[in-house]
Amino acid sequence: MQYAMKLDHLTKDFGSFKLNDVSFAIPGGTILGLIGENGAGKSTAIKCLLGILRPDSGDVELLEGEGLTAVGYVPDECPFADQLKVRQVGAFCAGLFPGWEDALFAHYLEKFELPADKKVKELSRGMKMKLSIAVALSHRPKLLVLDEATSGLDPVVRDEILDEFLSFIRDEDHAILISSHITSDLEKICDYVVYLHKGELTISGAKDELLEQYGKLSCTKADLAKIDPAFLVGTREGDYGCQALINDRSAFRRSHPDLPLDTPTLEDLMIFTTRGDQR
Amino acid sequence: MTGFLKRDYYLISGNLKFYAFFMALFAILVAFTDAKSSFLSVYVVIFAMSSVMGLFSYDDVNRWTAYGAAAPQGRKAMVNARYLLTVLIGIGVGAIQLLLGLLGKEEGTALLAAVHSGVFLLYASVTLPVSYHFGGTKARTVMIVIVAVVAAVIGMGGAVMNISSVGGLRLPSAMLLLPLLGLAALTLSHRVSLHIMVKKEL
Repeated sequence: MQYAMKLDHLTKDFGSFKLNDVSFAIPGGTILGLIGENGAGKSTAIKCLLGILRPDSGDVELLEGEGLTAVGYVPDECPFADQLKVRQVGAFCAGLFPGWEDALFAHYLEKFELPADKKVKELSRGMKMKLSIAVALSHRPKLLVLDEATSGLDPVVRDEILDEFLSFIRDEDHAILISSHITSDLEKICDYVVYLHKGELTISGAKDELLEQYGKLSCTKADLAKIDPAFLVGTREGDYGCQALINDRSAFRRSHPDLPLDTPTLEDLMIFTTRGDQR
Repeated sequence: MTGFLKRDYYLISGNLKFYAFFMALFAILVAFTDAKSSFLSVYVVIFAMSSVMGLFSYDDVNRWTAYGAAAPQGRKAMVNARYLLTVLIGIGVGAIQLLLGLLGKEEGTALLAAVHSGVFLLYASVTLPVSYHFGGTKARTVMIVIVAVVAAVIGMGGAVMNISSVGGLRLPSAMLLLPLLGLAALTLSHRVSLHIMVKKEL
């Protein structure tokens, strides 16, 4: 499988917000992290991908034509009604998803320590999210789509869930699309990153290459004033110094060998890019 | 479709104990007192109507519709399942009226069962597309308006029927066909709901 999913020039206009001409793809056997501020268009892109929203233009291709059959979807909120029992969720989901395996669901319930007889309303937020993930994995999907699935969870649960994703991705036929505000999570597990800002695709590429390409500069105001603005993605000025995101670390080092550059985080890319357009 | 049907059934079954208690109470009342089943079984119709409406509220609270739409064949299967459940509930409404009527050894039980079943199906044939279009919460308000209008029309119709019955017109027997009318309306309603759901942004 070359690509698990492709979005091609996707546009969705709500009037007050527009997801504009967004294209990206997830190669098989990889994890793509979708980052962006609130309202940047991450959920809109995911909903268009899954057919929950109808794009105004552009194409969506899932699993080389297999469609939704082999997609496991985990929304940001648990979709199962509070008064349902965990066992009942498994029972009706068996009729929703082709390829459902009761034994596999039972395995995940045991692994995630989810009691089958408990009602959904008795579960914590972390346990609800684990239930959604157990359901998504129990029909052996090839593509896992997670929309803010780790938000609001404590670090221990998040780490446990991220491990599960890494285990899922060992199969080269599998791929994951995950959107999250928690960029540190994505930094741990993602191979590719797409950054949406105000509905536009701002940064996209292999995570390691992006973090290698960009540089984070800490310097004085006087030093910052000397830098060619073409290098600057965004700047932050404080009382004691300045920080800047540099768009080409190699070229910058050649022209400013005296100024030290650090490797940025995904959060740095987000913050400086967002503030950059206000510069 | 079976998955959606099971999910709806599980949600409704949460109230089954409550309904079963009332049914048992009604059965005792019609069997051992002068209470008429026709009056009591109106509650059965109300329970049935609120059960169907309640499912849409569950959908809204859990954003279930969007999740269900992301399942293979999700939109169509979701609608098909709910309509099938509605038909089954309609049959149940008629069956309970028949049972209560037989327990009370009343005449015209079959006719009453047909009327109750038919009224429920007709109500559902309006409620379902309205709920798919507006969502569970808004649909309640819309249905209040629709029911008020229909009640006014029926009130006026009732007056006309009373006048007509003086002339010997046997309208009550025709009411046996009400379930068929309900099913026909539900078939049309199903097409409308499918059309709404296939195009709806969720």
